[in-house]
Amino acid sequence: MRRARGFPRSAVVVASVLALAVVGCGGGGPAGAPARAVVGKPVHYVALGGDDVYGGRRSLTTAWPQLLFRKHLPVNATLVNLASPRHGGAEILRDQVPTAIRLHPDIVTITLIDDLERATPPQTVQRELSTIISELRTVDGVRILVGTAPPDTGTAEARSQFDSAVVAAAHALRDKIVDLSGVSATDADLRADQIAEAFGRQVATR
Amino acid sequence: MTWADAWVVAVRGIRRRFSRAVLTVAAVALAAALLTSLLIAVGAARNRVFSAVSKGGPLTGIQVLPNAPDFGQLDSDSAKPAEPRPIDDSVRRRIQGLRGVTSVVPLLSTGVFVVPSPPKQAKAGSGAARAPDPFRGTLTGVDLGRAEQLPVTVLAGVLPAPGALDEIAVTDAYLRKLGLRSTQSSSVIGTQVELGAPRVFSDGNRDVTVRGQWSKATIVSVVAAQGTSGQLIGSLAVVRAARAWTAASDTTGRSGTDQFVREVIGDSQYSGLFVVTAGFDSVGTVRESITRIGFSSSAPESLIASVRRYSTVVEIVLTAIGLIALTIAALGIANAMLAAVRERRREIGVLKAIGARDRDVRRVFLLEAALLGLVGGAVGTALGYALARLVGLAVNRYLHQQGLTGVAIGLPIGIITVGILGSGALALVAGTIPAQRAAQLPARRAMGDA
Repeated sequence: MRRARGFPRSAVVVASVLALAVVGCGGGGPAGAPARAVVGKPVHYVALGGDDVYGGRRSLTTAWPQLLFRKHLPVNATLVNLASPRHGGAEILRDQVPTAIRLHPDIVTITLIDDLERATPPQTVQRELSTIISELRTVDGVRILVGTAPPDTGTAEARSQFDSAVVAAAHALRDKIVDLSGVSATDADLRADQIAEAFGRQVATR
Repeated sequence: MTWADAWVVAVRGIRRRFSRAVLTVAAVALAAALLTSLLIAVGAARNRVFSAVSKGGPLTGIQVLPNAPDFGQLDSDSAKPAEPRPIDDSVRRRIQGLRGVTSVVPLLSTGVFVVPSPPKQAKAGSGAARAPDPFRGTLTGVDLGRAEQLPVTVLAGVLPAPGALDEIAVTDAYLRKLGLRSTQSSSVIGTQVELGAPRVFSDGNRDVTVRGQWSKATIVSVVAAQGTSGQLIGSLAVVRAARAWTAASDTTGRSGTDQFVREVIGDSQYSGLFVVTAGFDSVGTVRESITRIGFSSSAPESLIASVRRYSTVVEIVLTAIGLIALTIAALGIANAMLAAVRERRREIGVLKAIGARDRDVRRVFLLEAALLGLVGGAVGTALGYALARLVGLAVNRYLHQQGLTGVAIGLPIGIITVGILGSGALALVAGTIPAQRAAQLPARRAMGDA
């Protein structure tokens, strides 16, 4: 009988089919989770102010700092709202600024609605706001955003609650302080969602 | 005659009676498919039951609570916690040092204020979908890099990346807070949740205030988790950040504030430990040791032991059914081979006339039988796997409709070995008598009869 040289082709074919069947039946395990990047250093945002920042009659979920944080800040941002009811410049300077400095924020917003309601003399507001800004500037790399008017003055009815001369004076002061201090400012004479958006635009312009 | 020569003759024999060979292979394949699909089904069902019992964690896991053990704890799978007892690193190290313990995974939890986003259906529906109400919840942190050691089953999505600060998993309790059923898990995946960790601020004699440090996270999965009644599960980093914020509270201003802080973050450094033991037999002894150290624990050891017993019985019965089918197929091979011997007497005579020995002839027929068995086994194993996958698809569709995790249909190497090599071995046994008969056929008689 003729001796075959090596194994015949049919043997190789059968062995290959068996091997393929074994490998093919191996079945894939569950697909691994897609690799996701872990975000870097968080952006710390601190809100200072009075009734409008605190929320007042609004719920936590609709106060404008929460809207700003929710919609306009990156996913790795944190928010601490230090505002309290009836806090104007003097109270903010006394109670909120020291805490804010300890928190080393990257962004701070300040609004002074309660001073408008109390008709605090513009010179006093100017002095307090300037001091607040200069103290906050001791934090490395902090970005300060200033607004002065209440959130609900977008409607004629709400606007009528305030003396237009006071509002105009406050806006003029705000502009002056912005010019002097180089901080960012927004026209906060808007509704909550518009305030959040206005501040959000300023955050994005950096 | 060499093995290669025997192979050539065997393959030619099969080719010459190809139709019969195909039918014989088909019979073996069907039997192997039945055996394979039954074994796969039993394995998948057993794994699914174990996974449900252990909540996806290892079967050898023990949950340790920050409480003293109650009398009679070891008689029950459930924990019977007594008074609170903090778990710190020294306790963790003591438990890690116990004989039979392979790993200890710490669990951290903290109270948070949760502001959920509307689920996706609500967003897709009317534009004015009302946001769900905020609620006080519990955030549990685990080492997500060791997720396979934890009693966590992913119902939908993927687990948060280890160390991620912006990804979070939610439990069924979160869905219930939003008024959703477990079948609606996918509607919360990809939505955002805001978490507020509380901190007490006090300024001299003035009233204390509680401020939240808010962070955002995207929900990446819905999970079932043992050992936590909380709504949210995240990385240890997320929980550590929240606990650190709360722990920095100024509790000197007014009495009762320290109680508030304790309620939020607890007295214990860890809110629990998950202990993995070396084997199922070690669970009982390790639980005893943990009880002696002074901590309450739970482990589904009795339940798992019962399930194991029942599943073994089912496995034996179904394997027997598959083996009976395979034996019938082997008898078919024997029958086909006997017919082949009868029909190929002349060929056998020629082989012997040109010098083939009895063992050469035996080798040809055994090779032929083994080849039929192996090919039939391979085809049948693949067929059985495909069948099991099809059944698995139908079963998983039903389970997903019920809001449960599906079964994973895998093909372990053991089943491939049994399916292919078992078929080949049975075919070899079945071919022994025909091969022996062919080998013992005298050359002259074989030629004469032809």
